[in-house]
Amino acid sequence: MKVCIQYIFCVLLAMASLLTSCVQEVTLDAGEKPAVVVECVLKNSDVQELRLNFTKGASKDESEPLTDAVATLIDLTFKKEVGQFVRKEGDLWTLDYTPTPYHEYRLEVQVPGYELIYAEDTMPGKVKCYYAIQRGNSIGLGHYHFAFEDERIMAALNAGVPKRYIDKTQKLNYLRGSVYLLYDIPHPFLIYGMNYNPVTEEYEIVQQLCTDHPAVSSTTLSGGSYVPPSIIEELPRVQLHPYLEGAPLHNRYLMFPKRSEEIQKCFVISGSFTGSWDPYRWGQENDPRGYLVFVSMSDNYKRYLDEAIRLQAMEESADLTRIYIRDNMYSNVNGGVGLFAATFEEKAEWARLYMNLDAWEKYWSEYERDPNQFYDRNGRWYHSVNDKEGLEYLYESGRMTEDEFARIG
Amino acid sequence: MKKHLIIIAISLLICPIIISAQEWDPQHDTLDAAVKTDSRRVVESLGKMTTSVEGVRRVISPLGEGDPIRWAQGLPGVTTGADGTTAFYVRGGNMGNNLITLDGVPVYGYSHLLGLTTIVPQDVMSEASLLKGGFEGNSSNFTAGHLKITTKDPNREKFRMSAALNNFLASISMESPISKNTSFLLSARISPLAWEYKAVRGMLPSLLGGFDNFGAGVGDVYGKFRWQTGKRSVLNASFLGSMDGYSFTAADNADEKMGWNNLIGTVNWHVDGNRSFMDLRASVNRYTSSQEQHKEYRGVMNHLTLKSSLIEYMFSFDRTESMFKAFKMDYGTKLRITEFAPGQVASVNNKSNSFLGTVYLQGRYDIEDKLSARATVRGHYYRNMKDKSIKTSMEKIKAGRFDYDASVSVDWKIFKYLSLEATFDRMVQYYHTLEGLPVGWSLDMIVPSSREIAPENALQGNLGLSSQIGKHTVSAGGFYKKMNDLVYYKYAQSLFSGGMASWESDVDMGQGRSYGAEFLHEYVGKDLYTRVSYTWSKTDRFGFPSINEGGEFHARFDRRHVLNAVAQWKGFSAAVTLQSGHWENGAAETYPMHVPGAEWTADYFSGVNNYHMPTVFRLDLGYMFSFETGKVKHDVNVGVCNATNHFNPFMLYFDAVTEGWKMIALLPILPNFSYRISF
Repeated sequence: MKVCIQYIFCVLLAMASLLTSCVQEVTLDAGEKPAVVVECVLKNSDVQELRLNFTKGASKDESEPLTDAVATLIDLTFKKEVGQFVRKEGDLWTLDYTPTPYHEYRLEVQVPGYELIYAEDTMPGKVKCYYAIQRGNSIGLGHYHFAFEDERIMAALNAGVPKRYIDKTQKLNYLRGSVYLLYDIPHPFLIYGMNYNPVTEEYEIVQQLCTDHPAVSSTTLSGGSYVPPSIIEELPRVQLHPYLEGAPLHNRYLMFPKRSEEIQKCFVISGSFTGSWDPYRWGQENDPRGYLVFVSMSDNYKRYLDEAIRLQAMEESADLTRIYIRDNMYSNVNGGVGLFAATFEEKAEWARLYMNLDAWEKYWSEYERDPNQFYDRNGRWYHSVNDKEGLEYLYESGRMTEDEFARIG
Repeated sequence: MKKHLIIIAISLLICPIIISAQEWDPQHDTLDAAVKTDSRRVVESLGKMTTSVEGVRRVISPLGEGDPIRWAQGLPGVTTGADGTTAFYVRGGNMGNNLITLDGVPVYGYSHLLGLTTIVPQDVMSEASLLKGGFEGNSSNFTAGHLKITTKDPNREKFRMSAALNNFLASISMESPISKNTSFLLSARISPLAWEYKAVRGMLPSLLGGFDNFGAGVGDVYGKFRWQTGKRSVLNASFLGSMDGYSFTAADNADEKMGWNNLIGTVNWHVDGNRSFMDLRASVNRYTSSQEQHKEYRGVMNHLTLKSSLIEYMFSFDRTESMFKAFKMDYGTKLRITEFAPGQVASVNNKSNSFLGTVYLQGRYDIEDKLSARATVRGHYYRNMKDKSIKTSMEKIKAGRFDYDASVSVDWKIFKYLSLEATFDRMVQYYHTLEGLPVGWSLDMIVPSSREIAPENALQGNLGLSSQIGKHTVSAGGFYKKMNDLVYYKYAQSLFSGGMASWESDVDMGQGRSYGAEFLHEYVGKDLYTRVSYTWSKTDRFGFPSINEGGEFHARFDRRHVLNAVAQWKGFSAAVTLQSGHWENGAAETYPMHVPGAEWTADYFSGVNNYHMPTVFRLDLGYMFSFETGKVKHDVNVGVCNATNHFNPFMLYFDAVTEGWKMIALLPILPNFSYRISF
């Protein structure tokens, strides 16, 4: 028996060394000819950017640089060549040109050894999204900062900035922070925020956003919900956008699908902003280091972004099955991969909407007891007791005409 | 996946300590004349090759004794899946396009012991045939190869018993007459895998790393009762039950279980007439499989339980009549009612029943030493009961579909030493296998055709020449095969996936094409036997809308060159396998992409099955000898599989810990030693 056990033991030891040969690491580089990657998103700016690359094989540290190419932009609407991109540094190529909204463009890229690479898209117009932001401790419509089309935002705000955005607790009506108005969405629409990181001295995308606009797409939902932070430690009830409490948080982007019918909706946005503008301080300018970007997108860009978001979420997930999914990113580039698309972008300010809930609720209980005391004979909200004083102030200081005062008052 | 490999490795470690042997029983040889010249010769025609159980046994395998699939894997026109397992592919078809029958009854979960062998014990086997073309009339519902396994009749003269032990299986079998007209055959096997694991665990715990709690329940039972009901009539009743169950805890604390079971009961009544014979057969076939996984990945526990089952009730009638001197007519019918329950996860209900009725008519014309021709036509009526909610009988009939298929084969002896062979087949298959890992494990879901998933069909032709001169037999030929409505399961590599419950949305249908040349040479001497088979082929897939944008891509086991050589001299055996590597999905190429406020990296997959795996090479050596002590016969097999310890990776797996890909090979150098006694 002893001999038998020794024999078994020896054999096991000998075989154990062989087990390691059962598994080997592998880099699955198929060794195929790299594809040309074209990335060009036309924007409403003076200079257009194009990035040209080769795909990188799994076994390589870096892709081969693509330096030899001819890239031409053509305005198909006017049937004329706009110009050729000029190579700058790295993979960046530029062309001095401002695209015209609703014009159709074609990008052609010729790379030696490859067939003609081309793609087409149409430049979108802007989405009518406006914002109003309070500057300082002033009152009245005239003191809003209007973006894009002042008359329309004025009309819209007159028509009804939601009462919850108005701080009635002070002597005058205050619009706290920034309020946005979306009129219609003829193109897919995107909002994202940028924060300035003083450490890296670079702008970084705001990771979490939320809004009370009902049309926002669920594509980017993170699964979390908004908890309004307190602004002042001693006053926990002074919170940032308290009326967004419980609103679903979105990863990085607020996406709005295009809609054929006109909508008119005021909304606010909050999230993990680090902008530090304080609306309680008179005369302080908005902090330019935290801002929002409104982006009107072509359908190609929308589809591309949707897939990018989905694949990125999958990449970050704990679902093992993602390993076996071999879906390529959407590409409208014939003969290559990547994207040729167009967007219309505008920056918008973002400011914090503080609200002292204790004071506001006290005020609100007054309202609930007798709402009529806050309305004028025309049913307009401005005729609260405090508003009357404010209007008189505006009139007396010459900021409101007599007609206006008579009409409102 | 690594854990499965460890299971096998544990078992392999123990091989030298357990011995097995082989039984030498007199065989009731039913082979055709060409084969009877020597039991080792396999060539019957290019389309059909047959061997006796002795030929099967001499195949060197990790178990120390071969099995019909390992024998078939060495033939021309056949490529293999994972090296060392029972996965095999015939003339460009999928693994699930093969039909494996035991006495005419399909065996769906045929693999045993993690794919190392089949569930049919050698003790009950009489012969095995592989048909690649010119299919017989009563063979249907497949499109690639037909591996026919025939069991032997119980001994009617005297009681016989044998016992064998090898590293993976302990077996016992007996056969005996009961009365003048009745006899029985009984065989049982069980695997000591779990006990071996405990022994290794006790002696070399470090070897197993975090691999723990291994359990295995592997075994099978076969019984056959024969009743000579009359001078020319025999009633056979048989059953086969098999069980494969494995569980373990892996190094990353993942608990995993998997297994499959077969239960097949058959009653067959055979009647011989003066110029005819007839078979009536009824069978019930139940095949189930299950998988469970509780695995943590990136801090999240993934739980999955997946069960599948198939129950088939089959009735068949076959009759052969000699019409004229050289002409025979075969005809018959086969009716199947099948209950499918694939991919049952939680409350998901994928159950559906199907009916498949087949009738066939076959004519055979034989002029001895001149011409042998056969023509077959089959008609099928198929209906998936889930397809339509219907009321009247006519609506029920219309909800089904009619198909036909046909086979033609001609063997014309042009000269004394030269024959021309040609076959043509059109075959239809109504059951689809969603193929997963190429290891031959019977875990792949079998699903029925439906309105959304059409039956697969294949057209193939084969033309060749063969010559037998003295002790040499040479055959060479070419084939072309076109496959339509092939089913492609997109998540084949995902062994455990809750997504399998929604399989209907994860399959795609397209086409396949395969063509190639096959060559075979056999030498049958007094002591020396050699066989060299070589296949050159090209197999691709195309027309799958969601895969590779409908473009062409390699079939996974599109091995361009496959060379198998066998030499046997007295008790010594040597076998060489040299095969082109198969195809896996290459890793993505990457490229930078910019989204608002961020730069990400995107994956770019230029195609599927675009990474060529390394060439497979394996040298197996064996020696068998027998001796007797009194009335007891002892048979001993010793051998080494993969004597050069060549790394033959068969698949890739994603290591969730390192987040990288790894190649796996099953068989390192592996000595085997088996022992059998019989009396």
